Order: sequence, then C-alpha cells, then structure tokens
Amino acid sequence: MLVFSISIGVFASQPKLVDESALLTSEEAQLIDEAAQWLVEQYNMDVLVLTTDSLDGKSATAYADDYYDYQGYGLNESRDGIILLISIGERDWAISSRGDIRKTFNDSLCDEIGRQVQPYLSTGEYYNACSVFLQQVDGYISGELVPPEEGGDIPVEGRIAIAIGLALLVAFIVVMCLRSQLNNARPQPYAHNYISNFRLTRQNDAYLYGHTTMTARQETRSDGHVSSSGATHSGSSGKF
Amino acid sequence: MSTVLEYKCPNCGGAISFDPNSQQMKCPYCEAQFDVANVKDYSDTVANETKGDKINWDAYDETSGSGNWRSDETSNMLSYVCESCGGEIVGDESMGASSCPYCGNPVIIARQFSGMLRPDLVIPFKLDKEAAKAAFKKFTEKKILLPNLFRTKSHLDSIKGIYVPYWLYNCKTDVNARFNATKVTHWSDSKYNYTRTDHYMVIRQGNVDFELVPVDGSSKLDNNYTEAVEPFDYSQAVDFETAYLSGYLADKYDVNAEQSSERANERIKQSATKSLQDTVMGYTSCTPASVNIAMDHGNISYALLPLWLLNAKYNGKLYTFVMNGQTGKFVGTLPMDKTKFWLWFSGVFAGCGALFSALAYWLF
Repeated sequence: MLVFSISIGVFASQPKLVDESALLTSEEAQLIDEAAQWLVEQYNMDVLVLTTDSLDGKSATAYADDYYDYQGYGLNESRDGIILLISIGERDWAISSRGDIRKTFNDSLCDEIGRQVQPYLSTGEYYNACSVFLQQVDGYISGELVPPEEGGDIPVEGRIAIAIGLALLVAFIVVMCLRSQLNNARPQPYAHNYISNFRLTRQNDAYLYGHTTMTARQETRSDGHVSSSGATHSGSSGKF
Repeated sequence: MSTVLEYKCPNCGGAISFDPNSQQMKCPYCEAQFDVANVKDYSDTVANETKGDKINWDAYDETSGSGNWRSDETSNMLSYVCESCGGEIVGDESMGASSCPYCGNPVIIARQFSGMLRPDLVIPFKLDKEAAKAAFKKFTEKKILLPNLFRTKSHLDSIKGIYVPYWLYNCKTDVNARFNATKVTHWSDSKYNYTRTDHYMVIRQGNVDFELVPVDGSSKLDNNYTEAVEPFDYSQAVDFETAYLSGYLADKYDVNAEQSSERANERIKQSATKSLQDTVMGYTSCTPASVNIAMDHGNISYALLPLWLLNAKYNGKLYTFVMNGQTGKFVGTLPMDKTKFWLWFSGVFAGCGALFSALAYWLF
C-alpha cells in the first residue's frame, strides 16, 4: 500500500509536482508531492505530475516528452521515469515514460493507466486523478498489479465456455459411437469385392491455372516513439 | 461469315477472352487467368466427353437357369404363404414350415409349388443352426448401450435357414473420369503469409470388370441387411440341385432383374469411379467433375445364397437378425437403452467438462 509520509527529499532538485494550473489545493499538492517523492526513493525512478494551462500548439505527448527531457528529469543513465501531464486548456492528458522502466511502462500499460485516471479528470477530481496515477505506478512497478496481457487474450469466462463446449462435443461423439455399435446393417456403396480386373488405359494430368493469396502477418507493434530531443519514450494520451 | 469461337472459363464457366496485355486468356467474371494452351486443352477435353452412361444389361432369360425344372425336382416342393405379411417361401414338403420367417406369424398355408425360377447357382450352407445361435449371443456381448434385460428376457423365436434370391451382375466397363484436383502450398516471409492454389484437370480412363455383383431380389428382406452380410465367396458356388434345399427354405424373388439393376448400376459406377480416383496421387484435393461409364457384356445370373434369419421378440417388438450362412458375418439392429444413453452422456460430459475446465483455467 502506498504510504504517505514526509520524507527527506534527496532528489529535491526537481519538483515531483508542478501544478501550473493550480488544480490542487495546497494540502492536496503536498500529499501528492510526498507520495511521488516516496515512489522516487523507493523504486529508483523519476516521477512527475505536471499540470498546465495550454499545450502551446504541441501535442500532449510531445509537450510531456519535451518537458521531461529538457527540464532534466529522469534518474540514472537511462533517465528512467514517468510523467503525467494534464493540460486543462485543451483537456488533454498524456503519460510518458523513458528509460529502462519502459519495459514495464510500455505504450499499452501507459494506455491502461490513462484509462484508470481519465474518468477522474473528466469529473474534475484532480486530486483523485493524480492519486490514482501514483497508485497505479506503484502497483505495476512493485509487481502487485499485473499488466493486462497483450493482444486479444480470451478472458477466463470465455475459456471455460470453450472447455464446456468441447466436453459436450466429446460426450456426444462417445455416445454416438456406442450407439452405432448396436446396428451394423449398412448398405455397401461400392462393389470393390467384385472387381475381377482393373486396367488403366489412359491418364493425363493437365495444369489449368493457379493463384496466390497473401495475408499480412500480425506485426509485433514496436513500442514507443522518438521525442524532439531524440530520446525514445513510451506513452499514451487522450482527452478528458 | 465468320463465326466467333467461345471458350468457357474452367473455373466459373463464364465466357473468357484473350487479353493482349498479359497474352493470356482472362475471365471477366472470376478474374482467373489462363495460358491459352491450357484453355484449349480443357475445352477440347470437355467437348469430346461422352455425355451420359451407356448401360446395357442383357435381359435375363427366364428359360435359362441351367435348364428348366425337371419334374422330379419339383414333386417334393411346396410353396408356403404367410397370411399376415404375404411372404412366400418354398421348401421341401417335409419341412413343415411352422412360422413365417419374416414376420413371425405362425399361420402359414402350404400350396402347390409354382412360379419360381430355377437358379443358375447356389452357395450351400456351411454353418448350422447352432453356429447361428452362438453368433447371436456373441453379437449381444459387449454392447454397452444394450438394455440388460435384452440378454435375459428376449428369446429367439425362431431361427430359419433360408436361401435368399440374389441377382448377380457381370459386366465389363470402360470408365472415363475427369477430376478437378488442386495442389496447395504455403510459405511466408517476414511480412506476409502466402497460399498458392494450383488447379489441375486430371483425366483417368480405364477398364473395370465386375463379376457377380449381388443385389437381393426379395422385397421382404431389407437391402441394408442383405448387403451388410456380404461378401459371399463365390468360389464355393455350385450348380443348383434341389438336394441342397432340403432342410432349408428358399425365398421366391419378387423384384425382377431389371428393377434390381438400378442398385447394381449405382454400386458399379461408384466402384469404377473410386478405382480410378485412387490412381490420382500427389494432390491436396481431388473431386470428380464428370464420370462416364460404358458397359459391355452385361449379363445377369440368378442365385440362391444362404442366410440364417433370426427373429427375437423383446418388449413386444420383433427384432430381425441375419447371418451369412457361408461366412458367418452377423448383422442386426439391437434396441438401445435410453437411460444408459443419457447416463453415459452425462458421465462423459461431466468428466471431460471438469478436466477441460481445469486445464483452461490453469494452463492458459
């Protein structure tokens, strides 16, 4: 569980909460900041919650990437970290990650976290939105939460339904076989037993035509995009 | 005046024309493309095919049958007619047939012997009544869905050895078959999966000779049974003598050779086509497109073949079983116990359902 506590921010160099649009009250802001600090210390990754009035014509993802890159966020050589951007003017949000943690926080997981956060943004519950963001980050990086699996995996209910359907089929086949034991009066469609002579007199195999069809293979979608600074980020964005 | 030659598309049958861009024949309906030579080949083959079969059976000469009945042969024989089902059987007067082998009715009337052809050949009985009883017992063993009471409560009402009339068909055929065959290959590269389907026109022509294809000439016996007891070993067939009949009954035919020939034709054509189809190898699929059969030297014999007929009564219903009197092959229909059926179904369903669900949950 996430613990809200006052910690000595060794990484106080970069604030973890930059609330330009003043969406949070000062108490809320303090709580969020502390929680974010705790995450940073705990998991050796940078965390930033950023709110702004306008994206200045950029896309939400580009704005988030650039702020993160140019403001010097990110720990370790690979500049590990994750940012949540809320732009109140365009009503856009973006989540962007960089560094080794992209293995966990890939496009699809950022998308999933965004989906959890977005409802609170829509209703104006900004504190809850930020809270949920931090909780999700904590959950996934600690391993408590498991990312939903890639690409069209069948949920458990569906699999059980298929298992039952198969069992039905097997049972049907078995009893039909048992039933056919009882009756062996079957007409004989062939007269093979009575063939006294067979001689092939002519054979000819002629090619007529052919055609080829092709289907595109499921490409493993590559993760991430390149930001203006040349760094590779993973992330997602959306409206609220 | 010039005539326009029209060629048909081998794929969809539409009219195809020459496409100067590709230098090939192109079909505007199904978009298939063909080499000019292939289309010509196909068209010629189809045009030259004979349409319709040529099947000619020599009419069965009723005065054949290795001569007419001799008077001393028929003096001892009587016809027995069943009041209830109208079945008519023939037997030695010493037989004293007591019940109808077809419907089990005990009232049968003896009449003077008449109206039966003298058979060309007969296969004598090789297995006796006891063997028939034993075969019946064996047939009911290990039948899981058979009601348990059947084994104890049913009784064999009657076991009768009957010579059943069969028409036997001999012919030489010339079969011409055209098949549509395909070869399918798969491969892929980094971006796509490819499937190539090549279509071929496969021609097979051959001579298939048939000897003694049997079709039963008695309407009283279900053809499914009389076919299921096949095959008979004709090497043991002998010229007919009335002596073989004594102790057994013989059925009179009531379906004539011409009517039975329909079934014979069906089986012969199917067999001939399959024989040709079996020589087509190396393709992914092969289906007959057109088969044409021409028959020659088609003649018919009349034979009496030995069958043991068993009638069993169970729960008020009559169950008939037939055993080949020469080979011992046993054929019949047994009743099914509905409760057992549903018990087995539920049992297997529950078992598999639990197993598959567990697998689905834990493994995937």
